Amino acid sequence: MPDPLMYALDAVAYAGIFGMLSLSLNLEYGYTNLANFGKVAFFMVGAYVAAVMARMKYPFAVYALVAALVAGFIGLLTSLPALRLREDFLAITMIALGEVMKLIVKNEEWLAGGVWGLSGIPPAVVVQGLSFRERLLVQIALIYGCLVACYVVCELIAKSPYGRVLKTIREDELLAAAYGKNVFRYKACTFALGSAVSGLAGALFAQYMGTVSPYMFEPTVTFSVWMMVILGGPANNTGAVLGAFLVEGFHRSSRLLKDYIGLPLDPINLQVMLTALLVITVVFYRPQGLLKERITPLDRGLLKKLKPMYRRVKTWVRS
Amino acid sequence: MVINWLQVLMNSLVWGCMYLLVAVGLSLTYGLSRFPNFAHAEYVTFGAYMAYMFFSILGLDLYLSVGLAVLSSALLGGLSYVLLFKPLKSRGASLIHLMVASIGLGLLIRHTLMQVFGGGILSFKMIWPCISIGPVVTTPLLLTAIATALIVATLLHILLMKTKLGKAIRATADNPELAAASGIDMDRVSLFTWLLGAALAGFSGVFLAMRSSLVPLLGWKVLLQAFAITLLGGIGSFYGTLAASFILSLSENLGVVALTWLGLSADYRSAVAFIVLVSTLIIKPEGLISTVKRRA
Amino acid sequence: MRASRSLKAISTGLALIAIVVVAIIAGVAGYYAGQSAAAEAAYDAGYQAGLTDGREQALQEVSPVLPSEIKIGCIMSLTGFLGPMGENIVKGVELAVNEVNARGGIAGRNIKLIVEDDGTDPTKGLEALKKLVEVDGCQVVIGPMASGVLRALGNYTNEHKVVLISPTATAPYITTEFPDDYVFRTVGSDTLQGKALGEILVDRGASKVVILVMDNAYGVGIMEEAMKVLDDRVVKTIRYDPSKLDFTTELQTIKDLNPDAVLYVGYYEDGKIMFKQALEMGLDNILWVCAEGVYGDPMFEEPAAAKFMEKACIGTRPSAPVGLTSYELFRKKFKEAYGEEPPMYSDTAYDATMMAILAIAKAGEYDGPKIREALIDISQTFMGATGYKLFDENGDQLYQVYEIWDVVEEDGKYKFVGTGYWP
Repeated sequence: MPDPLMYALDAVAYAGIFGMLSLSLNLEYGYTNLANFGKVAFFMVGAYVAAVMARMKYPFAVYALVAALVAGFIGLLTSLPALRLREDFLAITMIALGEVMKLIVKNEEWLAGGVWGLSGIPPAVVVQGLSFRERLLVQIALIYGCLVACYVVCELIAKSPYGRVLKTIREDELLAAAYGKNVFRYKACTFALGSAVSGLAGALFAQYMGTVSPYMFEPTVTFSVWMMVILGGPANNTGAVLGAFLVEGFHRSSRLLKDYIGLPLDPINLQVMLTALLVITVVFYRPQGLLKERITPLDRGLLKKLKPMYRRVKTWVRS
Repeated sequence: MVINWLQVLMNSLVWGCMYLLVAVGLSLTYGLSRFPNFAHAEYVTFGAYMAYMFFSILGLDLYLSVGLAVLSSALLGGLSYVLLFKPLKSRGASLIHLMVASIGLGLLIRHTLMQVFGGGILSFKMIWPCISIGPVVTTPLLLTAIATALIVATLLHILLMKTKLGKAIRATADNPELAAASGIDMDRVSLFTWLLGAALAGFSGVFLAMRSSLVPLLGWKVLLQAFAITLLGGIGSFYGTLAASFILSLSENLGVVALTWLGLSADYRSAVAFIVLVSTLIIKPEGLISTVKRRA
Repeated sequence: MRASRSLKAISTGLALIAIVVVAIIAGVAGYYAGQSAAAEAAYDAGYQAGLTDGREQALQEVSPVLPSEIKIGCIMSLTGFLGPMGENIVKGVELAVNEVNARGGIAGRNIKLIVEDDGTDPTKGLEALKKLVEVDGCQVVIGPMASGVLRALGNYTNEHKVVLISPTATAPYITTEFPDDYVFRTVGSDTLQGKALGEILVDRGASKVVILVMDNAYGVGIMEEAMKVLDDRVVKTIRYDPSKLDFTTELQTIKDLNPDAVLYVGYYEDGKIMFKQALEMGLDNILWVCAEGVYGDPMFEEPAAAKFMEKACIGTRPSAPVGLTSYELFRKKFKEAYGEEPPMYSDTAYDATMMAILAIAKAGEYDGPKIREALIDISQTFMGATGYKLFDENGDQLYQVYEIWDVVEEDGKYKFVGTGYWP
């Protein structure tokens, strides 16, 4: 019996998982201007760690935590060489990392099931005797529980003094350094935190899908997440989640659309081309995205104070 | 295990030449416009598909097809600069914006090609007889590739050193403000660099496709190596890129020998480029020959 | 002034009368015209209604629980790594559907084929399946192609009791992971092909073998099965990345080892490059035993590969028993419809679809579990384009005959010929 509601709920679940990825990228790029083009690598790490541990019957809380920690640690480690340098070096390194991680997973069977991937991952919460719809709702509850937690954490960070430092780093690293902040340490921490959140999202993904395989983690995933952040609005957490919903909704609806409108293009090609065009357009005409960054009064006050100081520091540095 | 070292060297030479053609364009545009153009990989793919179209579909003469393919890649590169990157830069787009836009452009090009030519594997239907030079095996195609790369390198050297335009390019890459102040037409120099870079990329695409097969991911597969070479050689430096291409190619081939000897999967060959990349960043981020003053 | 007033005066009076008269005539005429048109229309409508309703009612009486349009879902890789193969295989599925629809469909109901692309990505594959089951309400799905994608769909299929028939997934683990359930395959598991390849090598007296396979489920699966047969004849196993464009280093390793034979598993894309470069390196003087991934006319698009295959390759492919009439019939139909020889696996896809259609008809109900029962029944007597399609208790093929092929050149054109069978 067709049950379109299930399909819609499934889309909602995916959107929730991607919402977390989007939040993590927002933290890295939106607030700190870190070009993490390898997001899919940490997503994959989280998913695989969770898969391995879930098959060994560890409870969700344990393996989710471990997945996040491992992903965060790897994020920290790999960003170290590039963080001292410009954003573009970080971007290139991260893309390369994604590919290499996939290679490792594909070839090391003893570690991660190799090309076959791993299957038989039990869902996180198993309640007996539930119907499909109810099980899906339980999953959604779990995913959105984590999403809300991440959102709260990200908002707290953004509005805190730590967040203000990040924003300063984003705007002008020299200024932040002039204030005595260890720019490198802030960047590294943010990167690690963002990767950890990605790892958590990966863990949720693994138990939702039931299987993981290297072919599920192509670079297009990273690009989708970037799309979500840019569209929704960098440096706006609500925007990041909104972006996730919009992009996921777009992907789903283009698949449905082809049944009603004779598309001249293959739906997957169309999807990618439209996404790419949309990204280019947004970058061109509205780089702030849909929801602009909210500058709280406190920030504004700070900015007022900072401006003359900034000018003074700049002239001093240049002389 | 017996290793035919001469063959390994030969392979390194061939691949070094192919990488050179891909990486020079990337390095020059990166140095000039100050951002890594991820769509560069798709110029490679585009050139290959265009050559296929002219040669296999329209049935034109081989040399004419290749020439037209190179011209069309140049056109693509020029258009992407004029229509996308230059306006973005003048709007004050940040580095990350440019990178993201270039990735978007790359995907757009790749999927348009996939839509038009189908995602399948295409072939140039050419057969190259094997030539054995002592213990080394090669084909006329590969020898042509080497010759072409050498000619291109020489021409570029002459261009950069002896001509006014070349000096303008070097000046702009080195210190844009001073170059502009000296009255060099930045727009003209930039446009020329982009055209040249894309043309070379398209050229390399033709060789790559003729050597193996024509697939949509043709360019993407060598992008990582291109970046590693660009960073190793120093962004914007032609001579650095020249040296780095062969260094990387040699490392890769030696790496595969080592991997097979160790019993590991030869799949890890891309990891070599990655290691080179990361090492460069750790040890000497400016690369072998640094031309760009690093902005803090 | 006076003229116009008088004109007006005249027109008002006369005009009014004229208008009224014309109106009456028009009205009367229109009434009569409308009368007959309406009557005819009403009559026609009534007739049509009787026809369709009556037909509907008749259909209902024949098979009360089949929907008026029977949907068969299809998940194929139209883009991605297996994209080129997918485009060909869909033709086999469409051929079967069109053939049955041309004769009135299932119990008079049209079959609607809904094709979804999975991009050779398990995530997209699962999403496609969910869409087919939840949005379109399919109870039978043909596909997917890749074993890796099938793995992600298995649990969902079993939970939702939807029949899934894959024409191409050959990985051995599908047997063990999804036993006795809703996942069926119309192609033999690679457990058998690996064994076949191994035994062929042994028969030919190879004592020093190198195994060169793609680094994916397909390649490694065959490798492992073959190694069980070949044992210590294997001096080296090389797993390569099929998306790399250059295999000279791997081939160099083989050359240095100087084996008697190479066991090779690859697809068209990498196969063409591999053979071309192998020819260039002079490796065509040893025997290459290949799996069916490189069986197909697309290989000949690369002349170097064709030449190499003619000289050095033999291989196996899943096939039907000797001289099968049903395959020739299928081949004829395919050529008529598409103007080309049936490509690899379009035959198993055709069989899978036909079996699905027959199962629905036999079940008489568009319901997953009933269709599954019917499918198992059907398979016991079904003779498809690729031979008997009997399912074992795991939904795998009970028999699988492999044809041993070789490549010959005739008047400058290359073709595949069968030279024997295994077992």
